[in-house]
Amino acid sequence: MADLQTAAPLGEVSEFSADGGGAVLQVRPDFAMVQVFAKTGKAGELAQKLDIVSDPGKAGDTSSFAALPLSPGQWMLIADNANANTFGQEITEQISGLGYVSEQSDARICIRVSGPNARDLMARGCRLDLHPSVTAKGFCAQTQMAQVGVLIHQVSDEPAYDLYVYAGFARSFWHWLTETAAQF
Amino acid sequence: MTRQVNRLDAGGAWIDRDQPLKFKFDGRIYPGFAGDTLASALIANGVKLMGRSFKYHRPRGVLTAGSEEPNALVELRTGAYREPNTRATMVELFDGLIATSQNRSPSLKFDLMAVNQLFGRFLTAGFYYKTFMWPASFWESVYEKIIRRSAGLGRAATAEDPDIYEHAHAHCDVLIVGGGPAGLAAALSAGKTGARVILVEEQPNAGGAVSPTRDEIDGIAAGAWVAQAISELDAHENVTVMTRTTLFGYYDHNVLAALERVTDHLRAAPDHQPRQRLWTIRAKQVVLACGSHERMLTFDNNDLPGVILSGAVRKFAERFGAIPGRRVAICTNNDDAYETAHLLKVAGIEIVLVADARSTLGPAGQQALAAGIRVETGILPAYAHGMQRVSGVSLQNIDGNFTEKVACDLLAVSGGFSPDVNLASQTGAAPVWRDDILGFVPTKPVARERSAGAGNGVFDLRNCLIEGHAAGLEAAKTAGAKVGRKGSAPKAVSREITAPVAVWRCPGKGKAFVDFQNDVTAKDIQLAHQEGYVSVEHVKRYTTLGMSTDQGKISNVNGIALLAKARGQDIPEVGTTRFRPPYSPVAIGAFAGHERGKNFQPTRRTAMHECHEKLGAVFIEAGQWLRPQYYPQPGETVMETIWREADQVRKTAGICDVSTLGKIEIFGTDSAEFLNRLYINGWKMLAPGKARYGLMLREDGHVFDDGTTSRLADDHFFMTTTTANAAGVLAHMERASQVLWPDLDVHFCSATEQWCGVAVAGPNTRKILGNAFGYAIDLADDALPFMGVRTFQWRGVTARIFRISFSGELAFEVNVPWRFGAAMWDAIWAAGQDHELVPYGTEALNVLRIEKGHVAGNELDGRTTAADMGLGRMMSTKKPFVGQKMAGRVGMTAPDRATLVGIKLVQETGRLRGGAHLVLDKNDANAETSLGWISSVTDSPGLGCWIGLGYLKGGLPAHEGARIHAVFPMYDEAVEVEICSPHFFDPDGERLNG
Amino acid sequence: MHQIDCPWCGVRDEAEFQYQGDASVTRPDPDAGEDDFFSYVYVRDNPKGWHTEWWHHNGGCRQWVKVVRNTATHEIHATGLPRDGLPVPQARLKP
Ligand SMILES: [Zn+2]
Repeated sequence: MADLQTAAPLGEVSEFSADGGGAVLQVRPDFAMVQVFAKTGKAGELAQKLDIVSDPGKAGDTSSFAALPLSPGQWMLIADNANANTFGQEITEQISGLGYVSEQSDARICIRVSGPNARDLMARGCRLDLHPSVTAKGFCAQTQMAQVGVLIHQVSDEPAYDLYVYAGFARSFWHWLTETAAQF
Repeated sequence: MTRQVNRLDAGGAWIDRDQPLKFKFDGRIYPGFAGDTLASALIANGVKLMGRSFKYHRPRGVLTAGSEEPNALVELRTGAYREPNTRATMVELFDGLIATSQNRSPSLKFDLMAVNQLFGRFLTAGFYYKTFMWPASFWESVYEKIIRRSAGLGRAATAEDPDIYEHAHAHCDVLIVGGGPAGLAAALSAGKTGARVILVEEQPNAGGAVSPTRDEIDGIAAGAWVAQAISELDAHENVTVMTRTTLFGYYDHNVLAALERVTDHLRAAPDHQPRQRLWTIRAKQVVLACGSHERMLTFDNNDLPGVILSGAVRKFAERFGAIPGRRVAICTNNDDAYETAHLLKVAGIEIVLVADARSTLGPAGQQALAAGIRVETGILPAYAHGMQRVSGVSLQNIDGNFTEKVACDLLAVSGGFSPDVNLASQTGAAPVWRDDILGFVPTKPVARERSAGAGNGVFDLRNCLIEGHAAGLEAAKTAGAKVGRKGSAPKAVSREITAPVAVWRCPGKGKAFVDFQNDVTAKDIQLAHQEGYVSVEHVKRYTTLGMSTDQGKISNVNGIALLAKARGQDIPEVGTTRFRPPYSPVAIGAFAGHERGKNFQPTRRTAMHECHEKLGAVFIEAGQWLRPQYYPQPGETVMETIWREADQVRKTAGICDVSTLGKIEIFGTDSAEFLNRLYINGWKMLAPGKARYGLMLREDGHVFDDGTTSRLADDHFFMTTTTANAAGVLAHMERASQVLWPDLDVHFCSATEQWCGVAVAGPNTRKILGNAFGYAIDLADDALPFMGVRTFQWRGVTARIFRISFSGELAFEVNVPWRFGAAMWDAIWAAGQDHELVPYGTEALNVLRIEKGHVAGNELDGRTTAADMGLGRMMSTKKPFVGQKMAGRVGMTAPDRATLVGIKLVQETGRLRGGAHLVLDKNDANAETSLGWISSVTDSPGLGCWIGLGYLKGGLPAHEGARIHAVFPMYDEAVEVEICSPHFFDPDGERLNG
Repeated sequence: MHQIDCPWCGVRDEAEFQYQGDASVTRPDPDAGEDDFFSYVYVRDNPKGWHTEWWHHNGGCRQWVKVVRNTATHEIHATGLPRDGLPVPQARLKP
């Protein structure tokens, strides 16, 4: 385990609550994330091996990680409270011969959007239709909000959304998100 | 508080008489009520003069009660909040509102520019085209100033807009535009199916043109029915009613845009609340229930304040209890004006007469007669009398013979109704003319929409409700909702309507206005025709008819009819112009939303951003990235800083953040084959643990990008791209793998942000890095030779180290995961304290690479070949690669192409400039004698003179050692330069080994 | 604003895509002649009417999406993955 000082893209910031109580933003720490690629022609076998689904827009949940399909034969695997080093190694071993693993734990931050106005807040930047008749818990999508690429994972019907945003854009995105959320 | 002289004692469905307000117009304080518009409050206070016209500066009063208002444009608020061209009819009153009339100097009542009227015959159609023609030099110096001064419509604020604007997205099955009876009926029927419905209404209250007291729906007063309908819609979870929202754009694929005025009706926006919100609405189906616009009759002096559209008079009375006069004459060509007559009579206003252009009376006229109102048939207005407000009107018969002059202080006019086809027309559906209603109506939808109600040419309330109800159901069903029982439409009693009569020009020889805001008269249209403007689109541009902020809502049909008359044709033959978004003006701030100033686009920061801040870095934007440009010390000039940084890298050591380079991780058994096809050089023999410089071409054979790519394992590569092309290279690779060679086992993704990196360069580098990483990695030549790559563990962190050099010095690049970036920088910085380590930015980096003759963005300008850059020999002949064939074309390989050279300033004084042309003789410098150009320059501390890179025809073989000239005509500069090898510094690369 | 049905993501806004040109041309074999490559790189029809195009979904799944689109009306007839052969309606508008 590294004894080095770590620094998060958003620094010490961990939460934002709108004055009106309508929206809460939480920066989620300590998740491990890898992008998994099936070898050409091995997508089915790999999905079976990891027990994950391949349907677009549907995040699968195993006991230890969420699997978000990104495109044919590609997934983002996200594990809570996991060690970035060991998670990637475990997955690499499991899919040996079937696919490849790219470590992405540091590439993105995760912001959880929740609160009574979470859906309204999302609609300020997200072009997708997040109406409950369209998306529910487990929905995932890659899209853009405020000109920034976002991987969205709906984690609750309440609703609550996890937004995975590239680390370089973290401050810029957080600035837009908090400025917009303040009205709720 | 002063009495509001023109406020009726009762009535005014929209105002709250218990909430008195004060506001200021042109410096004077007036009373009003909550719910008023600025226009209604001014009317209630007897103010008739509200503005001056655009060209002639004629006095103008309010003409309409809605967003189509052409005359009553004011500047609202003050200072940074000042907004010009605000329609007084759309401004909701708040306590303390400040408005100023515009387009007048010095005052509204006495306007010097009104002398334009005296020269009116010179200011006819095409005036600007004809008068301000030549000399061309006069345009900037003389004409523009005159035109701007005299033709301005209000003044924009000069300070930054302090308001918040935001964007939002909505989705629905059925979008209904307009909250009048047809729109409400549609929302009710669609809402009951369970479909997701959005109803947008421009005004703060629904109801449209329905009379709240005189009309009845479902057996109750229409005003009460509207309230009931709104509460019923509010109760539906699947229905959203948005008031104060203007649907202004109907775009492809049923994407629509609307502007919600969130807090414009408040004195100041509450904290964090936006002033306006721009909605993008994606609707499966649309119902357009946009109503209609009343037209003016075209008669002499018809723009006098106090000449108001009849329906607007009714709206001011019913909504606000405000009445623009006490002695009213009414001129009409249709039945609707009788409604105004009845309403005013009940309110106790004197009706002088109703002059009906039609020769016989229909039921509406008969009813008026029966009610004791004087009605004259076959009578038209001839001339409106009065100086700054109407005092009377001369009347005439249809042959133009004077009949009488009547005194009045309000002339209510109705020239018929134009269905509002604006949005339908935006979709590309050309409106068609209907003679029976004298208006264009939408036809054959091309988008997923249908029209209903007055906007579809249906003016009878009963039929509006029936059509709205059916349209709502149909839209919901088409959108996929289950329609069970259809229910029945809200009921109203049908009225017998007598057709209007066409009166496009009441006889007269004076100024009869068609487009009020742009001062286009009937004569102007005649003139345009005489001068040969045939197409309606040309007449529009020549006369500016319909080009004002009201987009011709009132003037369009009158103008087309007059053009048809001049051409001796029917209106359908002339046709109409196509409407374009926006339906009504939208503030630029609303389009920008959050994206303005420093938020114009998002910025990217590296993991070490704060380390740079602590060292006092000045940042520069590199695409979206912020990169340290240089790290100034107190008392230094910029150049001194850059020289110090570059110099110290060569003498001791420097550290530079290289995190912004694009990084792509590549996996798969076919990775090497894939790279072989993308890069011009070979990759199959590259051993794991080694890096290689690679160059990519576009399909057309020109250089695309370069970078270093390392082999980490047999089936695992790590590519770097230039900062600028990171996204482009990834897209290029995705095309290659998905489209060109899908069978290859190759997979990749961006790792730009997963890894952050520093370059450490200079003679002291080994000592510094050894210390910084606790000797966890052997940096000796044999352990990590040039172009070697190693992965190592540094205090539990996986790090990658690359022995590569951009500066030409002994150098390493080290990558660690983002979260350890700052820790790595700090560790190296601490270790460097004993070894004179300096942080260096992009400027010093540029100096160093120019000294080494390394190409960068300035040289990779999209027009160069690998051979132009001196890298022709890198192009493999043993394998195919992207761009290979195209790079071999005759023109791409011609011996006289401009190729990369070094350029040295020979003379003692002067400097080199990027962009300068290279010529043999400075006295014969022109486009034909130019042999090339300078792409990058620096005042080199390593060489003690200005040096540069550039492209020169014939290149080194033809010119090495030659002295030629670099000319920069913009500054009238010409300097003598020597052409040399671009490898200015350490050409044999001995310093790479430290 | 076009709404494009990405075969992976579903209907998405035009803003998420980057237009990448004519998808009806096929890359010649590497050993084909210069003329073939010249045609492939430079020679294009400019149809008023139906056209098969590449739209790169770089703001979403990053797939290259094939789109049959009417250049005059902006109507989209079909979308698919690179390997999909998409039917192109025959009717072409008069130029
Ligand atoms: Zn997609």
